[in-house]
Amino acid sequence: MPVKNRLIATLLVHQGVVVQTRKFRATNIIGNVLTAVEFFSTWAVDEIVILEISQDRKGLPQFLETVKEISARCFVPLSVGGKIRNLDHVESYLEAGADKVVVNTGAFQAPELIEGIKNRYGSQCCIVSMDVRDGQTQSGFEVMINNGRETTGKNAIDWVREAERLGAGEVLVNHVEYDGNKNGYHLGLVRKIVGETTIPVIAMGGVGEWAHLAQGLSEGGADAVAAGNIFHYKEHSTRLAKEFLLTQGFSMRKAQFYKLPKARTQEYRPISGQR
Amino acid sequence: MEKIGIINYGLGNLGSVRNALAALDAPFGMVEKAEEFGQYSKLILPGVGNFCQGMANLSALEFLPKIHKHLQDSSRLLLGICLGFQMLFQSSEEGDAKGLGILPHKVKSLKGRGSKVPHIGWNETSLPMKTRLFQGLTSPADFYYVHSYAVTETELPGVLTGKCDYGGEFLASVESGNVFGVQFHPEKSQGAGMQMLENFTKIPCR
Repeated sequence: MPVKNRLIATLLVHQGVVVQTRKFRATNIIGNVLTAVEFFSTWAVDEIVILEISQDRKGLPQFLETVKEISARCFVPLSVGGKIRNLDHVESYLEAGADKVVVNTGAFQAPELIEGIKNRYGSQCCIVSMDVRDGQTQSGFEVMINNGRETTGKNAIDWVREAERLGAGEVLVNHVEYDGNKNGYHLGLVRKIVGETTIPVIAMGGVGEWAHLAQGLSEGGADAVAAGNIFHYKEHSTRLAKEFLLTQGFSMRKAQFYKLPKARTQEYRPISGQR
Repeated sequence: MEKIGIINYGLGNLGSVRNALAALDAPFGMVEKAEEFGQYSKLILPGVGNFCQGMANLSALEFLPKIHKHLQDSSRLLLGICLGFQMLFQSSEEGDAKGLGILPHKVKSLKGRGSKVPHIGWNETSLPMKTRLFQGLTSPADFYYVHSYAVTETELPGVLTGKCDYGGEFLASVESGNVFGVQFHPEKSQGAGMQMLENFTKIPCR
């Protein structure tokens, strides 16, 4: 059997709180990261992606602490990204409990980072995230870096091929203009990336209704669909999304309720050297 | 409940296994040195990473004879997860290294079977028998996998307790005497995985 399609919840953390974004600009503050993750982990999401999107690095130590606390309560795969520029940054996220890391600007500026992650931790550990806009490149899609603020002139297809060759295990693709617009994924972009790579593709950005998730899988051909904003405003949202996709006939893990046996405590468990 | 020792041999995702046991409120400790093996009647051999490196680390830490000795006492249990599962077998194509040799067969590459490698994600796992490890789960169950190698020889009568199909069948789970092993990651498989781990914590040592 092929692996099941995945439903991924994305959390964007800005200066220590979860935020919503629109066209890559933080808009609303959603609130506490731990509460959000507890909620997603309890319900049916298959994976959680957490990205630190602040402009500066000041919030990173606190973010690492948050990742530690999250991973202690997260029993689905956890991918973490934000300002990874070298293997030490990768290691700090993994030590904090991430199963995979998400690289974007750092990998674009120094592609050997992807190779380094592959060699040290394996391809399965490396998600290359790519922010794209319409541009004057051969494919019509151009890579953007620095939270979608900086143009590069690079053809998105060239970059995704290079990333795969260097050892990316998955690619996460977002269109800057579609982010937060509630009109669905840029299906043309997703389809194009899927057609040009052999690694799993995660579609992200723009989900405004459950049908958009289905489109990402069927019309976009994505292996996994991610959404952030939409999950914050509906009760039982991830379960409803999962149930919708299951009734549409997609092969997915069943929406299963899982309540952790132990309630969350404030106690801090260090990652290494317990006892 | 017997205290579980998580074998730390410098590879892989010890953190998530530990977090899972902590969330289940199961007593556990980390096995960092060869002399600490005696404290535990149950061991978990976790791991993500390279087979050769894993065996080399176990050997350098002088853990190999300790694991064999642990298993000579039939009341003591061991659970191998992912790489820890693969190392229970004779050898692996990954670096052509020798394993612990507790179970027959060789670990082989998943390449050339027409599916993307590594095999990452949730996949259906058939559980053909009622076993202690999978009590309370229905077959097929969805578990989370991340691996590029597997035991594709599924003729292990009385030993095979779980099968998965990815470009062909491979061993998802075994139980042989006091040895348990799973190719998937129960600590990342949410409800089904946590149920399985809880079952392991409750299996009596006798």
